[in-house]
Amino acid sequence: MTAGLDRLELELRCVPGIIAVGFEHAGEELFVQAVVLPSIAPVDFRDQIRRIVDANARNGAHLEIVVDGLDPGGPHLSRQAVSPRAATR
Amino acid sequence: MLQDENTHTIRTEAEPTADAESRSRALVAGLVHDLAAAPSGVGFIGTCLDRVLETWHLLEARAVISDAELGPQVFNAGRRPLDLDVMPSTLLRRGPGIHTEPAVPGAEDDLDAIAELCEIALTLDRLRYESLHDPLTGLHNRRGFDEQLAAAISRSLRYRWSFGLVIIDLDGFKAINDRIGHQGGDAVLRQVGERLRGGLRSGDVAARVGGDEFALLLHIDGPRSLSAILDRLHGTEGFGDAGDVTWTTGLAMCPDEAATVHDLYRVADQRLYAAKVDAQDLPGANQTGIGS
Repeated sequence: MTAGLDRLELELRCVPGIIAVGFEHAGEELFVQAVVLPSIAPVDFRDQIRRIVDANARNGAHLEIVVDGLDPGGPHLSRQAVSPRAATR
Repeated sequence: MLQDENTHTIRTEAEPTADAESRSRALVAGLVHDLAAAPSGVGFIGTCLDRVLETWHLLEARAVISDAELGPQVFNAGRRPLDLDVMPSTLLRRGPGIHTEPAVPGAEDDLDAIAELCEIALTLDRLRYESLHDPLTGLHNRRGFDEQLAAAISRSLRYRWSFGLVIIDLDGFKAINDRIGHQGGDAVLRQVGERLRGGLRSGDVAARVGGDEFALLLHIDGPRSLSAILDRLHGTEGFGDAGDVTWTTGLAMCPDEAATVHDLYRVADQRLYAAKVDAQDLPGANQTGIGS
């Protein structure tokens, strides 16, 4: 599992604009956090992140994309669940 | 150490002691040793931060590392999600290094040394990743796939586990490139990569091993279930501007039909080319070469 997380983390960090990645396990469930600087990220960064998590987290994961835009109003949070494979296909 | 107006001592920073300095030196020496054996750079950085927490009994430890290709990167101890009270952009403004809460006076040089180790680890990780993966699709490249294949052969021979090597060749890809341009052709390759990545079961491996050639390592007992797996991976939707794109495949089973990387490719390639010949009678359909 650690090797899988290593790969997932590195793949996510290879997306331009992703500056931080975090993981949390809650029982069988995996929570993935990706922090993005949108000024550097490609326009489809959400799709790219979701695809990478979907391909690496075979049993599904909860994904939180944090857009860190130095916005005085605070960070914008976007939560989306990457469902278990069986439910999405 | 600071004192307030009433001369009560208040500790706001971890205090340096001779013992702490000794542990600090030992920590750095141990991490240098660990880096040489670390299979993963990002895993090593997590280990570094965990050890920093343990050594100085800290609440938080974060690394800000600047990588030539990836740009600035923030890591949290334990690979935990970041507490968004401190946004990563705020950490980036503090510059590269190990940032701890509370600060560790007297350990600056050691923390700088650990930050440099982390930077080396991240660079090594990225270079290793790039050397084993195809940048267009994110799949393994030929080198990365062959490593996986060799490991699978060893397991197969040791435990008598069967698996199949499948070579996939996109039909008429040159014509697709001529028709919709190289950018369109690249988009098709990316979509094929995504379908393979998204459709494989845990433990199976996909790779792009040539221009329009892909390879799969599938844990199957034999050719019976192959067509259904390949149909599912291919899907029924078109490939963007390219429309329908078919592929031809060749299968080699390990260990029954071949048991070396070279022989598996040879058998799978022979079947693929035989299926290509058969496909001339059935244009517009996927073809699978599975042997008799």
